[in-house]
Amino acid sequence: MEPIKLSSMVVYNSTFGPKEGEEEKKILYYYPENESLYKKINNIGLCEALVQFTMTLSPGVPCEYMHTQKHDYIFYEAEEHYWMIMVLSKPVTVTSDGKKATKEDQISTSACRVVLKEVYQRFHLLHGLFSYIVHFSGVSALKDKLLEFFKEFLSSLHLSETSVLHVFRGLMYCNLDNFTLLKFQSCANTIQSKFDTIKHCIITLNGHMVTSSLLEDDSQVIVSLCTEKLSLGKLSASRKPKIRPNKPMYQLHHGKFLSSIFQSGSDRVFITLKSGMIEQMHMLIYQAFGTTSVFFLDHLPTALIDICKELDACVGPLLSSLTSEIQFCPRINAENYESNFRHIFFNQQSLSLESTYDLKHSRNCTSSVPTDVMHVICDINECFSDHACQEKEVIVKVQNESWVAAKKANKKMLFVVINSKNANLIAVNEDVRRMSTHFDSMHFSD
Amino acid sequence: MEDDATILSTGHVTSSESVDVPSDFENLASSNSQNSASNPANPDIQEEVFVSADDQYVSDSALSLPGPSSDDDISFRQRKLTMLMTEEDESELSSSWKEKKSHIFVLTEAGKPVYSRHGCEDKLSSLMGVMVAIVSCVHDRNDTIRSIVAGNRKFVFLIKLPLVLVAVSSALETIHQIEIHLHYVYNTIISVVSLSQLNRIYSTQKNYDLRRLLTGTDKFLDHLCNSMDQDPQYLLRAVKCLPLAGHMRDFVGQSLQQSKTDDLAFAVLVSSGQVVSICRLKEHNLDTTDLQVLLNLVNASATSFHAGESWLPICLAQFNPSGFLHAHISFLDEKLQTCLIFLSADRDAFFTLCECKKKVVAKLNKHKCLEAIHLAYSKADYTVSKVGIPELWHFLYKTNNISQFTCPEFSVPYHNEKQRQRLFGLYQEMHGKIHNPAAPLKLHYSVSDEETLLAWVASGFELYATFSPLVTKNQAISAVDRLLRWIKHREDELFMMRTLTF
Amino acid sequence: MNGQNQARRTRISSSLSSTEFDVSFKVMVIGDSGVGKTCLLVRYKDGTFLDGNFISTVGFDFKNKMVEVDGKRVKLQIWDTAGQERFRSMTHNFFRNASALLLVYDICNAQSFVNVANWIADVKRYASPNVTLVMIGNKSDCSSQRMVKYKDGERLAKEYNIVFLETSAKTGLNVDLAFEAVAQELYNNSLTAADLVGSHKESFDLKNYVDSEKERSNCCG
Repeated sequence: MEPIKLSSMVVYNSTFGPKEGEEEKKILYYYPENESLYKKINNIGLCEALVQFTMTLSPGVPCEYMHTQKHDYIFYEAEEHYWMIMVLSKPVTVTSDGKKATKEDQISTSACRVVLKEVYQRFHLLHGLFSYIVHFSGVSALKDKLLEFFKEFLSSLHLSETSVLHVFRGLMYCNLDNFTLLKFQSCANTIQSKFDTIKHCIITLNGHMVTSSLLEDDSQVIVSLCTEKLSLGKLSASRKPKIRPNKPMYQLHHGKFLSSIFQSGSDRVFITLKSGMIEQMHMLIYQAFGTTSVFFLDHLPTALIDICKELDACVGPLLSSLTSEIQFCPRINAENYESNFRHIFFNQQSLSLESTYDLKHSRNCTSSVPTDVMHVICDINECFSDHACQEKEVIVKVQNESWVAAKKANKKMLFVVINSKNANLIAVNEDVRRMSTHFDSMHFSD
Repeated sequence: MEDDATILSTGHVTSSESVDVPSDFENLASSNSQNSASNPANPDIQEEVFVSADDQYVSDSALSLPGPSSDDDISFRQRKLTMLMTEEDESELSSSWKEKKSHIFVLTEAGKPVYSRHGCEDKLSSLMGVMVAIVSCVHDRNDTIRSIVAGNRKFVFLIKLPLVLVAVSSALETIHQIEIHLHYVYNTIISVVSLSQLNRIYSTQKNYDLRRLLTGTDKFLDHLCNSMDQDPQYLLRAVKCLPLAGHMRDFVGQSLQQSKTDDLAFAVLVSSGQVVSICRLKEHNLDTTDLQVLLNLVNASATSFHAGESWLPICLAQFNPSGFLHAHISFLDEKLQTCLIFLSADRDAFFTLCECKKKVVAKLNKHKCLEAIHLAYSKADYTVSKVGIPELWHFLYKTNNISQFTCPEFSVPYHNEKQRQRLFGLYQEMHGKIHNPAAPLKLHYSVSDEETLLAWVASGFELYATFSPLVTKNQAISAVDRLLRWIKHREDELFMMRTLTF
Repeated sequence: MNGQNQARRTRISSSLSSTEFDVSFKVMVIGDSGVGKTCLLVRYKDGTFLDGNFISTVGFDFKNKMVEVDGKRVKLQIWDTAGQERFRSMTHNFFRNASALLLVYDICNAQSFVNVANWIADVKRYASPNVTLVMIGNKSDCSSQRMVKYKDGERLAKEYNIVFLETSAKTGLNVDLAFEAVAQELYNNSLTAADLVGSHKESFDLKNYVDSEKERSNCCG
């Protein structure tokens, strides 16, 4: 069976070519690039028509999906008039009588829409607003940036590996005890007060978030970028950092500063401040003692090496002592229970995410989530996230022997997946009750 | 059923608990599609077919395009679409019209309006033009549109050439459930014109205005659309029986048997929309959707049938999509509650059936069946309190093999219209989750501030139950246990367990 | 086929003997959808007017009405037909069995009057040659919306040599007359020469009878 495939990715702005014959001007990015101009224009025309059609019946609510027999079209209006469209082709199976049939819903389209939003956020982080680029550098500059961005992004996109955790767009926090966490936070404060140019900083440990002074959305994008580019997630598993072309920029006494993690060679990022303003900053990535820290500078000093040396001298010893005495708080993990228990904990407020699932979803991996369980979790999450939703507890049994139990209290959610032939509603409930006591801030009653 | 009941509490789930409900829906889809794919009455229409995800056959000769479309055709339609979009006069569509929870449109592949649930079709012709243009633009990509989602609004397309059906819904229904609604609408249209007549007309006249043939049918469709928003029978694809003592139901069945004549396919007795008994030819089953289409027709036109006898051609899509049966419809009481329906293949059988009716009525009177029926419907439904489980607020129970369901009348806290609709929405939602084609479930238990809901699909039945929000899981489970025993005990009264044959 | 129908008819007559009548006839009410066929019938049978929403007849409704003609009980079996196009072929099928046809148009709907010609063509083609045909212009109470003049109706009736009258199902004007005149005509036609011998009865002329009995509604043009 063919896996789900990206069949096209489009960015357009209808206002750029309003007249007939000028439709080409609407296209800002089109994958596959070698598609005929004629088809590109036609496909964008269809998308425009769909957006307008849905608007006539539900004004103010933009089009999100179109499902056809063979494709899923995912719509996202990233900025006013700027539409991003992702088209996925459904996997085709051949039935026993030789007919071709498309396999439905291999992947939740809502998870894919999250991916699409994340694509934009990444672009935004690296290049800023579409409209900003067009205003200051012209449409062709935006086209160039999109082309360059997607070239790199699409090569690393593996939709079939989209993990169930993706839909939460959460941050995997490090399970530190409060005291250690405070020390890390004070370390971050020290750095920011000592160095004028450093406006923000993020510290991660073994790929998990420890502290960040950025807004959650930006933190999430930066951590996921770093995780991907530096293979941080795997660090914990195989201690050995597998850093590919990223040669250290400066290898210093305590740790090392990494050169650009982006192929563009630029480490400038566009950070959204709490005020809503967007500010361009420079990113410095520093690794020492299993931690990865990202510093955001409002301007690059002429002598970069000097500030790096100063940082190493100041931060290195702090981190060294911190990491040596780290106290992890007890984490519920697979070892505590039988291996047929898995869980996801998500805090909508802090985006804090904790799970026994991996961020990377792999088809063959035993720890991977079955498609139907993934759908159930996505659906429940969607329901829990809806303000109108009254549900606070859901227990579900899927067709195979898995049970999914979910609870919501305040803005926190807990999902427990149990694979057990002999489970029943009462037993599952008992297991979930035991497990939820670990999340002491949640008061789940029966 | 007893065995199934213990599964929930003891936890031993056997493989026999396989769920066959999704296949019900597949049957619905595939049997319809077969009808459209192989049309014996019209052998000269050669249709190239391809298979969609749910084995739905769609004619490749769609949208009046001969063979594969050339680039010129495509760009012509694309331009037309763009033109239509810019021409769209929004002022025609009032905001109250837009805010309707559920719209259903039927149009021809040429974009001619056939039916609109709200508002006059003529005013919507430009909107329908856009719909058909979108359908054809997707078709140009050798693909078929299924649905569009915008926020909580879903646009669902069912392409049954020469017709295109579109639903726009902001209710909690799933796309899959809306598709099934569109199938009901389609079957109702077919019941009036028959598939072969439809194909015959459109094979020669692409621009035919179907409303000419459908005059007077709007009330069936309106009635159907309104019922689908509140009557669980369409959600469950099952009919409700009038609760009646088992021996009395047997008498009714035997009375119906008296009507046996040549070419009589089915005899049905209904009372206030609920089935009392059915008698059928040995070799033919009365499909549930066919029965529902028939009952909708009778209920929608109860006022126009009056107290006389009526004779009406009807095409039942599952029985034979290309031919008409003839329905002899008569009400047996002054209040137009109890209705006797004969379905015959003979178009000249009216007077013969008038005679049959007399025989059936005589037999019914002999056993005092009509009095019993009258008593049964004047008592109305039973209340949930009759079950004797205080935590249980309401339930829907469907027996899968005979496609019938039972439910108590709405009582506190679902005593007013608003609450009733909310509860129906919850049932729709649970049903949608349980029957999600991507992840069908066996059990769904959810707790909210207002109630606790349980949906459970087992081998022989489907149960949807609402409890007080304070119920514990143990209480809920023992309540379900007791409820299942209660239903089992009254099976003969609540359901028509046997259909007699002529 | 005809023989079969004949047999069926007699069988039915015999089985209906419980409700006493001397002779029975089949009468069909035909015409375009919405001209008021059902309303006419309801007015005649129950003496009421179906007000409010237009309820189009689905298929065929069948009702009995007893009339007394010359002291004999005459049973009219009246078919109310659906005017819609899709029932046309079934309607034709029933023409054969009808002894009398009441062809109705709506004086406020010019098209329904234009279609009278089509209906008459159908009658000629499908109905028995000695069928009694009466043309009725209904809704004569709606004078302000009148589209078909009384004279036009009269002229057309003359052309086809059929009986014509205007009725109002709302006010009841001429409704009973239409049905009773038909009953009388059918009854008289059914009498054989032997029946007439010695009865001293004048032959009944439907046209004269209707023309002398019918009331003209006010201000008809």
